[in-house]
Amino acid sequence: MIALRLVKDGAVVRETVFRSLPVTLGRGADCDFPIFDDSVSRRHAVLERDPAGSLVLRDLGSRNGLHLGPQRVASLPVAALVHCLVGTVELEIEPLRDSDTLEIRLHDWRNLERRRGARAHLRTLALGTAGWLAAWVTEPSFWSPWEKGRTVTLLSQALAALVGLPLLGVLLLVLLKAFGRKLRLADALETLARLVWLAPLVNVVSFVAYYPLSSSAYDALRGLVVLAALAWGAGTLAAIRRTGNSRLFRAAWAAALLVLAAGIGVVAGLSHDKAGEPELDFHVQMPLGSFAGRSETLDAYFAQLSLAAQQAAAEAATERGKLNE
Amino acid sequence: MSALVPAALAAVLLFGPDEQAPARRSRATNEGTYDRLKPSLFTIEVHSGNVNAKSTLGSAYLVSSDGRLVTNYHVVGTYVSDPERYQLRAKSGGGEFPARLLSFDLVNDLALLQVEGVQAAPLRIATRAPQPGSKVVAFGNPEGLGLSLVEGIFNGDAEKGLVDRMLLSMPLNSGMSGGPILNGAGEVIGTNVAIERESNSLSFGVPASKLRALLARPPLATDKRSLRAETRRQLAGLERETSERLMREFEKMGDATVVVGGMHVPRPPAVFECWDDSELHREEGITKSQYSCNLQFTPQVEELGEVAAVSLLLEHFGAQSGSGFGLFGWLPEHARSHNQVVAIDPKSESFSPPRCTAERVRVGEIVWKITSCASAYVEHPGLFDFDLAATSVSDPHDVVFVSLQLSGFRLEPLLSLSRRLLEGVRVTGKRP
Repeated sequence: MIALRLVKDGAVVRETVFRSLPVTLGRGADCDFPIFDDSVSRRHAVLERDPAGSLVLRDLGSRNGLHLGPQRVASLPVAALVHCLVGTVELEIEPLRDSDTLEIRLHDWRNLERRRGARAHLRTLALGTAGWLAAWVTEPSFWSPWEKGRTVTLLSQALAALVGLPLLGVLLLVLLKAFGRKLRLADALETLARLVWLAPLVNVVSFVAYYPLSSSAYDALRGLVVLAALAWGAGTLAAIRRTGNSRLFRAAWAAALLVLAAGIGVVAGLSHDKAGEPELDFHVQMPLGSFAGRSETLDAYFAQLSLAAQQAAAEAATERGKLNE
Repeated sequence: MSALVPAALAAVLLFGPDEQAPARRSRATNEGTYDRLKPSLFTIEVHSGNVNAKSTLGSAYLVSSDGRLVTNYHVVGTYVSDPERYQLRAKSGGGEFPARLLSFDLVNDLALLQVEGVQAAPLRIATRAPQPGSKVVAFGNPEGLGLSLVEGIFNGDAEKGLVDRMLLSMPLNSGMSGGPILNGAGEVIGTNVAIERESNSLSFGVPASKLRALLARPPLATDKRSLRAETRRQLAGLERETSERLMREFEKMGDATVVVGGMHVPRPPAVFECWDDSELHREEGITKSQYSCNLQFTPQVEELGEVAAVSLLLEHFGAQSGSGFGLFGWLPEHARSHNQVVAIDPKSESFSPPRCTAERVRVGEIVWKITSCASAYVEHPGLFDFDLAATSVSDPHDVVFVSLQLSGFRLEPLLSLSRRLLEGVRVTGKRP
């Protein structure tokens, strides 16, 4: 099947789908796809299969001919969607395959074009701001007894969210548009508003996981959770209004981001090592009831400390060797 | 010791008779003292070859007729740490003499130099300790501006401190380090060493008794390797002595405790200078009590800073119910602010990068989060700067914070000290 579309000022004004070839185009009333325009000849062109079996649009000796871009051509191949000029009329030809129909899944519904009212925008912004504030509130340091003016902090953060989220939305919009995605600001904003909630979620997960795990296991878990949240978030942002297999797409995104993050982690670790800045863990957390979780004996900790001291001594010895050279 | 003591005594005896008359005169006027002693007083400069420039400046005084000068270790510290890069020179009354290092004592902050061709009378060293309350004068070259005489009162030795220090009420200034402190008879009773910066004319001296050991030491070879070995030897000796003394004194305290807020902690021995404080933060619902101790007058070593230094901090936070979550949100920041080792420049050539380890540790009834760091001395194997911070996490309403900082110690003293402190903490739950 082949769709022929007449385009005026960038909009399709007529579309006809043909099942069989050839299809003649021209000003003549007997043409299969008549085009009434002074620049078009009576029998202007024909859409047919060439001897090799490929689809071509061939000029039938018209006065003003066929143009592909600025180039006048005697015939042009139609392998995929093609824009050309018949005389001065813009024509779009697209070969169609019936297998190309995409299924709209439940989660694609929100990707469909829809208009949102002011109330919907406000709801989105409120959701995002609430998530932003939840991230602050679930941070234990926010509740420090020496932290003054919590209300002021919250108000200023709410203001930051109200300004920051739309700003981020615009950035995202520009970025995705640059990649040819068709979306509205509301789409970007809605996704952002939902993603902001990842931060308090990570905080809550960390809080619950602290005591059941040993310090090192907790550190590893928290790192993983943060990384996963970042990967998932970035994948979601990239998939705004993208119909089709977005689950696979998101998984690929997440994998790519994980690889990137691991790379950054390794580089940061190396430079950290090189700069000699110590890894310092002062994290403590309110015990849940009287449950203070897993702990070492003092002797085991001292053994660990001796190891750290030995490591420092070994590095000092290396340094000494270098200085004495 | 026997080799050099006769020489020192000879100096006192030989020049004794000559000094009798001026000594009496000096009691009457400072002008006399000034004129009489001027030729025996020196300005010491550590320089790297430039005629007019120096990297450190201090004072010194002649103690023997063969040209031996006493000054402070910290005046010549840069030279001791790098004798290939720096040289010493001594100036007196317009004359300039090349100087050679004979020995040093970094614990008491003294050094002995040798100059050639000096034709002045050496100062006599007092054989008896001065009376507290007696008038004294000190000489030196403040900021290199010119020989200056300062009057003051000797108040006995400071009551606390790792090393002995004379307590002086006189305004000493930087550059006067290494100058002599004289009694009314014009005899040396000590050497200028330090001032208390934020005080009003509180200065310190090294008692003359510390000079004897220095004068008895055999002269050192002054190549880099030998000086480094000597520094290492003295540091190791200082560390051994200090850690043994601390252990002994802690042992002597037995089960004695002090009450800090809602807890009992082992009582630090008297060698420590301790301060305590308790405040109720009504609005925050927190009672904060703290007890902090440190060793005073710990030696300062070139490139290493303070050595044999110990400071400990014990804090108790009593929180009303409901404030626990927030208190624990603030505690990590609190522990971080007490970490000294992280403040060490990671690019320093004198210390290894710090290595740290953190874990939850159960000691008796209490579970602690302990974070500690070790930074090894590059030139002095076996010695470290340590930092240990422990926050109790087993009770949201009675939080104990212990911070222990050691500079220039082996690992063992840190372990036994922290064990003693952590095992000795008992939370009573009673609030002041």
